[in-house]
Amino acid sequence: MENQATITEFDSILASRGVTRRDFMKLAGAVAVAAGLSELAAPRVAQALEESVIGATKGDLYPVIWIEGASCTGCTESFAQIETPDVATVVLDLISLNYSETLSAAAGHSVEEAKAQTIEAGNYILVYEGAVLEGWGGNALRVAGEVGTAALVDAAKSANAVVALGSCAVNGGWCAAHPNPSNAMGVQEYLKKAGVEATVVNVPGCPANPEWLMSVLVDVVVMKDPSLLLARLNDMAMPNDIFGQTIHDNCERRGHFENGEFVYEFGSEEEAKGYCLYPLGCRGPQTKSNCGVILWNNRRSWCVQAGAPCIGCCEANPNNPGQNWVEVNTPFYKRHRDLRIGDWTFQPGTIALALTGLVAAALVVHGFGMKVSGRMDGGADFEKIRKWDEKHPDKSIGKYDLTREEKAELAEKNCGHAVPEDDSEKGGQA
Amino acid sequence: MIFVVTHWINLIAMILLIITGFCIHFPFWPLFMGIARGVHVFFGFVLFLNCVFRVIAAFFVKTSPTGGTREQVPDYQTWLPQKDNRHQAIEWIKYYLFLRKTHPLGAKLGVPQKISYLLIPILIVAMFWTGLCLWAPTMTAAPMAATTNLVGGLMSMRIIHYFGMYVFIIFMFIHIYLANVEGFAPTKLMFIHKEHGGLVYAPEVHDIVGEDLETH
Repeated sequence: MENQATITEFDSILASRGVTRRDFMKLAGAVAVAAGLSELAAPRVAQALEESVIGATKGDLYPVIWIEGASCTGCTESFAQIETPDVATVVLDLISLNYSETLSAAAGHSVEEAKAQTIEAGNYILVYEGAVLEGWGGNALRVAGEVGTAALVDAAKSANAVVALGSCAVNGGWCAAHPNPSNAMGVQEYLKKAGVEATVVNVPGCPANPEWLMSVLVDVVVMKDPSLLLARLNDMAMPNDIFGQTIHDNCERRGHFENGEFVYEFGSEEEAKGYCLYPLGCRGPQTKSNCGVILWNNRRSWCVQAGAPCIGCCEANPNNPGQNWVEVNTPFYKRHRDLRIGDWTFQPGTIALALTGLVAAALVVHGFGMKVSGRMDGGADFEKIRKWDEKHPDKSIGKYDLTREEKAELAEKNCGHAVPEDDSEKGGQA
Repeated sequence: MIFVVTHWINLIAMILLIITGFCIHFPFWPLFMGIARGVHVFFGFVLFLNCVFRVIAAFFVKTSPTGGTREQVPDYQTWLPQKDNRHQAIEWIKYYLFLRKTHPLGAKLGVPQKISYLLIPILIVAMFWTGLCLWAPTMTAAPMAATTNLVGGLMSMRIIHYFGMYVFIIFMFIHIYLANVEGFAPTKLMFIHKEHGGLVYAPEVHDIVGEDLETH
């Protein structure tokens, strides 16, 4: 019938997921923003999405290998908890997760074979979760009969991009915290060491927000343009639109910070009022991430909104495992980290105060010495001749054998008027 | 006289920076927090610019090379090694530790004194730089970000800046103590530019040549 409404194949796919065309266009705008594009790119994104989704129904999914190194699986959990049909799920439905220790239905030999086949076919993305353990010749982590480092190198070599997901993958995370017996480090550093050329994208966080992963995947999987992704990376190879500003910059409690309204104690009246958590050790001012904008758990809330000071889980310098978020931020509720000498840990303020107190005490003692030695009134008498001059009369610095007349002349010259001749034995400098 | 002014500026700026710095580190006095941050940044620039001015002025302003003389030389020369101080470094330390009875002869600035004063501009510049690394508007600039990476992140940078403050505090303790323990003459000269008579020192012969009993 000509007057009967028809819907496209794509719209029916959306409808089956409970997504209207209007929702979809909003979603396309959100995806565009997530991908670091302007919202004006929404039609372009919509078209790319439409093609990708239709492609997906025909089995044309983008292969992804997800390897867990030294991980707690928290990033996988974070990714897997997406349940409602939002921006992230639509995009994540476009990938074919060919290998995941946690999520793959297959196990053992068959899933390892699936991984090997995917690597051989190429044109896939590697998501690496958890730290790379170099300790004991790589044997700190063994999976399926091989050392973890070899699994990473094999999969990274042919990948279009390697996403180091979570702070552990970025620089070792808490696995790299003192004493780091397994020699944990990040993906980027290890691959560089191993001489593997790969495009590494760092997405820190403990866990990483699934929307951050989605936003990285959009560029490659939906827009099919990895250069879009590369253009977003800062010098730590992190998407700068996500990790370019501090938590503090975008914090919903920032107004209270500006007003000088702080929470000093959990369970206090100030906490109930939602005041700023700075005195409780909030790491917002030094942690770069857009948590407060993108939110967590399907955009429901985030740490600070829930009443917890930021503990800086996104701090991860890919080139420095020592700058992992646990090492630089513990104890979390203190304004400073602990410093360590051997097994002795202490707060910087304690040691600074102790040292200052010691100096003050030494000065007091010294003051008594000055009093006893009678130096408080103008100091001790000056030496008649320098010690060194006494021992080296041939190279003497001072000239001590002046006549009274010569002295008087020099004294008048140096003080501007005649002075009584110096025949006193006492001293005392002006 | 100009160095009396720069010294006053140093004093005021350092005191305010220390007080506001403590407040920023931990808001002991919450309502002061906003003001403290503004004052801290402002006087950070004041201290740095004053330091730059002081160093440049050392090349244009004349001061006495030693105490007890009206002779004047370009100020920067009094910051370099002077013949009056030669071979006296150990003697100064001995004097401070009561290991010798007499006061060593020397230039306006004794050896340990001169070395510690010379470290102050370095400390001021280091504090200014680490401060810029922590100040939001400048922290992402390439040179600051590179420095922050070098020291292991913003937390380390904060601790370095914090320890730097204690270096200032410890310096001030020692400085105030030593400048006044033998009498207030140095303080009067530094703060109100008043000097009375006393021993007359002739830089020409590197020795004391008389005593001026008049008050000026």
